Amino acid sequence: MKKVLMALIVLGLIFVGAVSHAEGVQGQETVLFDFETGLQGWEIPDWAYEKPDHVQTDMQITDKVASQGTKSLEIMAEFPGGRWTGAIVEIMQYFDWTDFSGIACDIYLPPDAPLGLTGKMILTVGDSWKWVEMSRSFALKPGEWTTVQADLRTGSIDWRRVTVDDAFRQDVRKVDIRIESNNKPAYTGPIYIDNVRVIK
Amino acid sequence: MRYFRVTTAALVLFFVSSIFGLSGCGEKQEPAKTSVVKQEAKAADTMTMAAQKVAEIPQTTAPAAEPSQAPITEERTFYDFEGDLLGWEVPSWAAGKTDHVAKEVVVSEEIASKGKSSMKVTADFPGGSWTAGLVEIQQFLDLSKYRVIRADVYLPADAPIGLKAKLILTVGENWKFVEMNGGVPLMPGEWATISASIEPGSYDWKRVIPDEEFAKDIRKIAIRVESNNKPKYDGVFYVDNVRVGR
Repeated sequence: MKKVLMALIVLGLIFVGAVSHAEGVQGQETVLFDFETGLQGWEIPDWAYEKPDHVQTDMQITDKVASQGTKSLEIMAEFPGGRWTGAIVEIMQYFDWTDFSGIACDIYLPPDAPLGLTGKMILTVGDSWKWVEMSRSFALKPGEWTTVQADLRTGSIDWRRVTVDDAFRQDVRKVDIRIESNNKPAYTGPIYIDNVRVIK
Repeated sequence: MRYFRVTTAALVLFFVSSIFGLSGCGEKQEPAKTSVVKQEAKAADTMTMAAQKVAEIPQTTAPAAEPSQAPITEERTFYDFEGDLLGWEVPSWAAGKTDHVAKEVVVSEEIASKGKSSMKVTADFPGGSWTAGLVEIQQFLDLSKYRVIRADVYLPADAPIGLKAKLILTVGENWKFVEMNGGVPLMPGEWATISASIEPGSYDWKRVIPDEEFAKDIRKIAIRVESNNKPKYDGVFYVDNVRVGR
């Protein structure tokens, strides 16, 4: 009887441990924008319309694809090829990400899109509204969701021309997502963004 | 009179020899010390080239900055390939070049110099001409806090002898392609560490002596395994633990 009781206790402990672990993994990410209820403040910034190398033409919410939920943000763009061009969307909002170690978003290209487009995030931080691009871009694969992510912790090498310290993530004022064509490819069509999130 | 002539001749000789440094007195002029390249196999080659470059530096210029000779006591791994290529790839520009023979790059758990996995590169070196398998990452990095950049490269035990590996950096606004001076010989069945100083004054780079700005604006890191006419090899090599040290 004692053995059976002991076995039940052990099984119970294993079950509780597994559940708490699963909750812990889920709790590590906080979704900021899933686009299930609209644009949630995201826009094509006015200044981007004035720059000939910025080639986004329109944006809207769509239910064609989603990496989380049923909807995502669809950006229409016309990359001509032959020179650097980018399609950009942004949200202006104050964030304090002191409790978080990373930021991520998902980007999707339709299967008939060409290889060669890349995606990165850009933060505007601090009192001086410093424009801080990610130090590298992520290659986007047609027909697949690509997760673009960056480390926000002190000493991170994921951000360009900035020393990442605690103050960096404490005062984030804008988040931009930019899809780029560096001379090639040429592409006219949609790009989808979803599940913009921070990670504990 | 004879004594006067001898004395005068001796004084003239002393004066001339003093001017041209032939007296044998005082400290002997040593050539500037070159940077320490960790790979012994590469050292002789690099030292020779460094000595040549030192000889080319005019005596009248102020001494250039020299890399520190102090040991590296702290390393930071930037790319350990634990489950992710972390942005490393066979670049699209290499795909169109017949002398660039890397075909595929994946994460592999077959072997690792750090952690459990590494980056496995498949390449087909045909032999008979210079060919190379190159992988790279495009990332903007400020490495000015560090003194060296290093990476581990492994060849399987059944690979031939004769392949060499080197690091290549792309630096600055002009995207200057800067190769290491010499390749590190890869021994089949062993990890080899490629190491180069990025400090001002380093002689580890071909046609470039780094200045203060060099390490501040690194835009790409590439690792290139080379076959110079030989050997022929159709197989894989592994890269792991790309790191910086100070």
